[in-house]
Amino acid sequence: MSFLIVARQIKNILRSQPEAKYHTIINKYKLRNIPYNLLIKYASQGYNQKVCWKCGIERKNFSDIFCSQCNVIQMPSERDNYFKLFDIDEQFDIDSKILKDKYKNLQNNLHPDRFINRTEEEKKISENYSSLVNKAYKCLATPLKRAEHLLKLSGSSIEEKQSSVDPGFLMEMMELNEELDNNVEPEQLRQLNIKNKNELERLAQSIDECFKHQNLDEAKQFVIKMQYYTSLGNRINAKLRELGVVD
Amino acid sequence: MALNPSSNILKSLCGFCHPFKILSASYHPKVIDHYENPRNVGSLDKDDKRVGTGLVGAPACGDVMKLQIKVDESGKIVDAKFKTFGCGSAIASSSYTTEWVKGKTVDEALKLRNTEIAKELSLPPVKLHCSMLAEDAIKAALSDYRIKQKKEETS
Repeated sequence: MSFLIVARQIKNILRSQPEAKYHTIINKYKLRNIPYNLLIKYASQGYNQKVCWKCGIERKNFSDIFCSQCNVIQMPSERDNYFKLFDIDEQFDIDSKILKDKYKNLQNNLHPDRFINRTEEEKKISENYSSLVNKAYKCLATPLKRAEHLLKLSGSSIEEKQSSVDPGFLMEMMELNEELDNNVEPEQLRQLNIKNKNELERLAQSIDECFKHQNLDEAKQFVIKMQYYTSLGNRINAKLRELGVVD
Repeated sequence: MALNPSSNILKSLCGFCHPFKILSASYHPKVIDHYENPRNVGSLDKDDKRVGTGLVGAPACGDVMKLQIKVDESGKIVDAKFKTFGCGSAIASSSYTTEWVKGKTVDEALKLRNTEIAKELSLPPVKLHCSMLAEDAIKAALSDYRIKQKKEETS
């Protein structure tokens, strides 16, 4: 039987019978030699958030990591919106300290090391949950990725095929990159790096303004520029590393 | 089955022999060759009326690519140069394009498709946009050349 068919069946069972317990379904299909991780993955897609997968009790707060009744780890209530995953406001200007605290707090509870003596299901859930939190943190902690995530959430992500930005800007980026190629002295590179960081800072402020005023199209243009300056920054840093200069 | 360098058997053998090379193995040898020995890097005089310049960028990854061609009186491309700041696939795509375009006429050069570049370099699907960038660049260079020529005729 194909995995997809199984996945569909599991989803249907979970949808039509919310009271069905997640682990009894898993156990039923485990007998059919289906790889465990696939089973968990498919089953969790159709999984009913409203009840605990283990004991079936109705959950009061979906963002709680553990079931209030049996204290077993729950699946993430949110997968796509990283802001909701961390329970922070959906905006560009975020407090990086709060984000970091939330991240540490989540990982303290979720880390797979804490589930060594638990069941296979719990281990798997903690693994998936924990890696999702890592991914989300990396995204939100970087201004460029955070801005792209915000754009994606509002349905206007940057397409690969998107036609070019204005030629003047491209020319400027070309010249900046060429300037970098001609500069080999660590001191000059440091200067370029500072200049670049200031530019990124300015762009971040513009992006924040745009998001605050719901001006998505303009935000997108700034995010694209930020992408170019980030690439330039990566090249500067790579060159500095080559020269053995560490900040 | 033909045993060319891209065959899966050879690839997996390479992985076994050089387990530490697996990372670089995700790029096809042709890409690595163009990346390590790029052909025709440099610039042509963009104010020369026989030179066409194409400058394009990839907004999703921040790559910039400049491609220039020089055309002789008979409409044949006699020289091509590029400068690309971006990933290995973007560099290889533009390097390959300059090589391919040399000796072709302007009309022939317009027919270059990104699929051809991608096929030649065995680019994986996630890197197809790099070959599109090279196609856009050569088209931009050709159109720049044509605009210059038209101006020349009217003046």
